[in-house]
Amino acid sequence: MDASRIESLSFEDSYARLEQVIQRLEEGDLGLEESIALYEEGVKLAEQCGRMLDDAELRVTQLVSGLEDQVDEVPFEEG
Amino acid sequence: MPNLFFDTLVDATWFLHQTIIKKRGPGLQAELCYNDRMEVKSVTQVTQYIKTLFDGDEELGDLWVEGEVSSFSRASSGHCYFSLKDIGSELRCVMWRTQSQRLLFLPGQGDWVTAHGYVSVYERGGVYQFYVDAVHRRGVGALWQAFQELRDRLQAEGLFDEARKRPLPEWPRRIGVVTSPTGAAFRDILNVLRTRYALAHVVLSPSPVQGVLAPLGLVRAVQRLDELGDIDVVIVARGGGSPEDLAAFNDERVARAVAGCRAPVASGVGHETDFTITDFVADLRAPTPSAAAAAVVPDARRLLAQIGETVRRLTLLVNERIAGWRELLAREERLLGLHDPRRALAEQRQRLDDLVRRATSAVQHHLSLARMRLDGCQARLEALNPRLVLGRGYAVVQDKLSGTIIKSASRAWPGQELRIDVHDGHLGAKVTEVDPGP
Repeated sequence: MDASRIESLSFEDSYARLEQVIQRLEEGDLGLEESIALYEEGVKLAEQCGRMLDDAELRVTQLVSGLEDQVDEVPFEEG
Repeated sequence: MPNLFFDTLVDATWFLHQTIIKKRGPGLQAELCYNDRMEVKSVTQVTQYIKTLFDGDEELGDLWVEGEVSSFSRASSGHCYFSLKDIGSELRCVMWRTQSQRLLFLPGQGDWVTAHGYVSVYERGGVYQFYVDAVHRRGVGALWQAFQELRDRLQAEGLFDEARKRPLPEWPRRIGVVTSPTGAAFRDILNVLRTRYALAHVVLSPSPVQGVLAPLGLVRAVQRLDELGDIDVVIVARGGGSPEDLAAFNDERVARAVAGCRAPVASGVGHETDFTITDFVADLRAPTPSAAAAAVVPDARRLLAQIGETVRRLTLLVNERIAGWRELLAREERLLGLHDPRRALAEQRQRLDDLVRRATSAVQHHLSLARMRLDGCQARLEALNPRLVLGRGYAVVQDKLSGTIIKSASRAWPGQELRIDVHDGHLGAKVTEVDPGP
């Protein structure tokens, strides 16, 4: 998987891909070139996962009843 | 013509207004002000005064009260604390150790009892309470009974079946939370989510969580999340409280709304020991709101640690693999060296040299053997050379004419001419006498 595709992954997809990469590497029947490519991808994925967790800020919204019984979602103000 | 009814109404309003002004003193709009001449009481004085009112009341000094036992607890000191309640109100009760030791049964949650004692004021807490000295059980309380009936009915209907329970998503993105926006429960939930998994998006669907509006409010709040859609998991929560505070979570309508929710539901209502109908219906029952929050998301800190560990393992693995290849390569190189054609050529040349050397020595060996055999023959030949005998004084006698060697006297005759060979020449002779031996 190339770098730009990795960057577009969500956290859970990155994590799932990371697990896949490790499993492939552990199976051990890979060529040198493929191993190194997978390893580099794994390191990139791991860094990305860590960064995403570090940078994440919990988003909180609140539902309010709008006109005609529809539901609106607005930012929640913590007081 | 003035309207009599209207006049009367205006008059009445005016009168009411005046009365209020008189009672509150001048300046309805003015704030009440404090000045030095006013008598000020301490909190204790007020409480003590109220206590004298209670204690002076005959009715309160000796009474029987009927109600449902709630929040019963027995302190390590042996004193018992609980509440008596009915549909309309609640009465705080204390039973001292000496009285509670005489009890024939320990009152439990939901027991309908008649208790005897007096009502007085607990000064430190500023509360009035019922000091109980005797308790008689009357049966099981209506509230508790209603709870049990509903629980049994929904259970029979299969609403609590394990098979109905849906698994919670591993990676929830949008988490619906049904609770009061101002309650401690919501703050606790946000704190837990922030530390464990801040990648999530919380959608609060606010509702009152106690009082008459709570059941329908909770039902609507759950439905609103469903209407909004795109919710991965729902937390229904409320902080701790008395069983009455949690009553809305024992409401059948709320239970059915939770059961019907499209997203899986985790409940966190009250404390560890509180079980509500909502808990039974939920896909996951957590003991508290914080625990519910922790149950619906993975722990990011642990994940981060795992990721670090994984990368270390990967690095080790790949390095090991590369070292393995390097070793393999070195072996191949050695093998390749063995098959170098120049090396083969040199070897052939060496073998050839070897052959030549071996051939040469073999030939020489043969030659010397032949030479030795030849020498032996010559020696033997030499030994047989008759002339050698002549040297020792022997002579060879031949008939001069025929050249026949005369080895016997019988072959000779007188007058015969002979040739006699000696070692350094020959002589001519004539036979004069023949004498064959005896």
